Amino acid sequence: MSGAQSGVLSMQRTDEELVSLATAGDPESFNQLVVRWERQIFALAYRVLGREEDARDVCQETFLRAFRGIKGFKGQAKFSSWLYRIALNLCHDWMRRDKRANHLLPLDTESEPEPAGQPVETAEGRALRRDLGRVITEAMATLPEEQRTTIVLKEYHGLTFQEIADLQGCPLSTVKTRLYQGLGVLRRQLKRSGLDGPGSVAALAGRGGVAKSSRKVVNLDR
Amino acid sequence: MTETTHIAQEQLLDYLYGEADASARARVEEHTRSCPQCAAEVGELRNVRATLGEWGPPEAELGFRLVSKRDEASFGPAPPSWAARTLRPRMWGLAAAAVLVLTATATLANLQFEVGEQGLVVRLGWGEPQAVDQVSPADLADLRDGLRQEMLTPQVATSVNGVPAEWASIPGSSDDPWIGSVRELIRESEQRQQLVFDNRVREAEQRIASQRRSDLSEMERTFREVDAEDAELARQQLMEYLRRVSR
Repeated sequence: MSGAQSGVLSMQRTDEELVSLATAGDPESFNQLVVRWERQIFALAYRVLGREEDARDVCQETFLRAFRGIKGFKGQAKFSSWLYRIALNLCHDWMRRDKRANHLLPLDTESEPEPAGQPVETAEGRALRRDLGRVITEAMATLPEEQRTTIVLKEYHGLTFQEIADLQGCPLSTVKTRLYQGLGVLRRQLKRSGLDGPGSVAALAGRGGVAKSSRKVVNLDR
Repeated sequence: MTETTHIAQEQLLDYLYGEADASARARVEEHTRSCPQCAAEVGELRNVRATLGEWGPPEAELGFRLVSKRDEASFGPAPPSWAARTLRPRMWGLAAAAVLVLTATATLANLQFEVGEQGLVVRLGWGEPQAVDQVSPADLADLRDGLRQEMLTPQVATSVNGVPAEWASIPGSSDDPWIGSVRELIRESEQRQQLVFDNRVREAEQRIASQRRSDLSEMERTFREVDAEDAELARQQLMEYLRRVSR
């Protein structure tokens, strides 16, 4: 880390230190954990549930439950894994409740997913990204919950296969099967929408040069 | 032929997600060189992953915060309550404090201060004008001077990281409980902003690092292919990756 951040780091405690401070009754330490993890938990819930409002609710509920149960966290897993587990259980409840209420997957297909780090974007680019977000959201919604969760944990949260197996309480081989099957479904769905290559956004935009040469890369593998 | 020994699903995934060790990786690469079917499989899965990589969550204002009632009531903590930033009076206080520092002199006339049973209350002059009889002009002048002094003090000017210890040691600052309270609010606000900022930096670093890793492994792969076969086509591929990396 650079020197400019050393001041910050001196203030930064590890998750585990903050947990033990929070357990000892310091709410401010818990708030630091919230700040540290809320975006990750929100992103997890959003990608699993597909709706911003639900994701926000799950995120809030996750931290509330974590706070209430913090004394039960004995450090047997990483704090983040523990949080993920709470959030995924809540997502599961949310989806079951949705199914009972007979919702027809009213997904956030109108919202505009914005990857961080691209604040300046043309209107055209925004529209394309929205299309891409919608296509992926819809494709993900067709997957069974376990496959979707596995893909989200692996693809966007970088958990190892073993960590996912521990979280889902299943053998390593099951995790890989879920991931493989899920990717297979997504591959077919994306292909149907014409989003089957790298630089899909560029391909959508019809910027022929980039898209075409990206395709060349694909063909080489065949 | 190698027909009967295609790469197993599990090994393929380990390879694709960088969890294969060096020898397993070499085996996969060796096999894909001579097996167009497996090479195509790897390529397509890479493409799916690249497309998935474009899917970000919406930018949401989160800012959940656990609020202990301990500060407000004397004893006996009430159950904590949660609310989004916009609904939380405490956060209004923080926002007001932050605005106060930036525009202390310019908007002084619009600010109201009250010290009551609930501690310090800072109000911006929005809505109905209210009587200011609890605060004398002399008090305001004190506060203004105090804030000016803080803004001019070097420790404060460079305190991007929130430095409570130095703030507390500014001479004369302990005389005025108001300034102490305002300072406390500002400090909390700064700490939270700093944490948020720090987290974003960390996330960005992780993203960049993982992008760099995958770019490097792509380049490495390409270089190896240059050695192996069809130098002309592979060179085009390398150029393509370089273009993408440099974008």
